[in-house]
Amino acid sequence: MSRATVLVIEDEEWLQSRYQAMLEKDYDVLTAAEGQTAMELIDQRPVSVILLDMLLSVSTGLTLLHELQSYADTARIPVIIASTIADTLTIEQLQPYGVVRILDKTTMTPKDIISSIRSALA
Amino acid sequence: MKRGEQRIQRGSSVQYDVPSLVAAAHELKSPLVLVRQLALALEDATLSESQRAVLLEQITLTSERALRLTSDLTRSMRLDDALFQLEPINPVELCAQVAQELGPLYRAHNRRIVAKNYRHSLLLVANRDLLRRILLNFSDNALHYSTKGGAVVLSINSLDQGKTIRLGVRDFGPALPIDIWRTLRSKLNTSPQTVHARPQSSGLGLYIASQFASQMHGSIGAIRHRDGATFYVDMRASEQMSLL
Repeated sequence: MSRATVLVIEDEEWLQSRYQAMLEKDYDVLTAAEGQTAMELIDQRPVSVILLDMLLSVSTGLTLLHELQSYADTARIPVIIASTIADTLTIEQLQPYGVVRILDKTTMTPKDIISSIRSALA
Repeated sequence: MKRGEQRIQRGSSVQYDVPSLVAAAHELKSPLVLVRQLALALEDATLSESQRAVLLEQITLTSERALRLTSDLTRSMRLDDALFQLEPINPVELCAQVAQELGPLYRAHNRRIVAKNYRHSLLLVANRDLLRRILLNFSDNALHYSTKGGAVVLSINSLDQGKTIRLGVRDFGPALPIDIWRTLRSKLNTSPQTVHARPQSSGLGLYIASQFASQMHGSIGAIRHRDGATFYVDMRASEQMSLL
């Protein structure tokens, strides 16, 4: 059975590495630091779930969410937000953009990330 | 002044309003979140000794980055105390010191920071601590925009027939889109904004750097290149050499 693919979009290199280390035992993991690279990766192969930071260097997570909603195939990919501004976001606001869970980076644990991805893939 | 270049005028002393303090809190969240996640990763019992050592180094370096920001903030509140002196500074020596200080952080990110070597350079008039903080700030920023395996270069140039010395921090990352560049540049001389959607930050570090520079009768600015950017501080050259 083929493994699900998780696309991690996080511009903090060391945090991106942490996500990769905790996920690669169970999933194929792709990484991008900003939206354009993320879209290129999605073009190259199917992605099962996206773990997205909202505050990126070159563009914002919201820009990418809009982009994902512009195409029928990418609009279906579930998105999990992991952000330091989670307290300003609500799932009701972001559900129309395919967001299934919002994690607060200031309180989340590795277990939260793993369980959110499992639940998004279920 | 060349096209694409912006000189920042001198500002007044730093006074933080509530949005600025919120921006400062947001700015600190990022390294604190990273430290916490790295610390949580240490709980993994399957980590090797070398993996553990890497995480510990990352925690140390990230804490130091956060501390530099907090220290700049507290320093900026005391600018009116007139507790600092302006003195002739050797910019070559200072750039080398900054490159050495940030060397471990850059190496841990698989990047290099290099101070260009000059056999002779004019002295400038500054406060060593404040000027060092400006260069550290620019270099911290440049790290984020540089590419893996690449270098950030600290350079010194003489302008206005030797009356001004420019210390530049050049990164060689991908060219920023013009809208992002405008946002970044606007942060050089405006008070920090609350973070909603940033390119990278609230601009707090750049704002503090501009305040430090103005206290030393200098100014900061930025130049966009096809392959990256230079953030610079212009300082008055010392007349000490001509008196000798």
